[in-house]
Amino acid sequence: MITNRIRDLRYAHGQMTQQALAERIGVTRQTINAIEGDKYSPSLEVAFRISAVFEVPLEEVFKFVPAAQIKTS
Amino acid sequence: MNSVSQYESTIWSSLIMTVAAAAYFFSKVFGAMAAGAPLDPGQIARLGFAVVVILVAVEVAFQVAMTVWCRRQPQTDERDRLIAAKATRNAYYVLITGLFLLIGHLGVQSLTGWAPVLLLDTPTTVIFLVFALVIAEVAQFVSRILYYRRGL
Repeated sequence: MITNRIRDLRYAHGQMTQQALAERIGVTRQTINAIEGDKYSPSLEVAFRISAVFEVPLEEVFKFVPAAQIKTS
Repeated sequence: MNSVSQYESTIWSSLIMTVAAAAYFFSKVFGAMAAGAPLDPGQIARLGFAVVVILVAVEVAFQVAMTVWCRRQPQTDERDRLIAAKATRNAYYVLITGLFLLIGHLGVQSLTGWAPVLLLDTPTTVIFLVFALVIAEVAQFVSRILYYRRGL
């Protein structure tokens, strides 16, 4: 499973709205909402665009959590 | 915060309109079959044509109204395209299942003369083909909505 820190990063960047982020990377606000809620794993292109908006490396936005780790936690 | 996109709203409307149109059409046709009345292919074709024309007209009117209301065309992205692809795959499985059931039934009927469920003549076979198509279309809309609600 892929988790992310998009919500935290948005607030750290002047409380950026989901709509503002969506417009900057060219997706719908509902897609940002789905990504934040871990309901959708974005394509590599969208993932890189998100990290570019926040000016941080990709691994600071997204983190891969193995399924076994999710079950034990 | 509204979590239903304009695009998802059009899928809900398509689902509701398709189910309503199919319910009207098949209630008439299956009602006549249950009553033992002989099916008039011309009458069924006219009814089906009228239902499709009304369905298309209402759908177009709704899409135009939504575009005017929201002041823009529905925006789609990679998630919408992935959901559409997965929903189409699910609809394909439903359609193939329906077709295999129909072909199997026709095969048994033609080889043994025994009809497992119902004696299928040409008009009845066409009705069940259309029924399989409609069920597959409904499965596609339902799949989309579930993928939007529950995630991919």
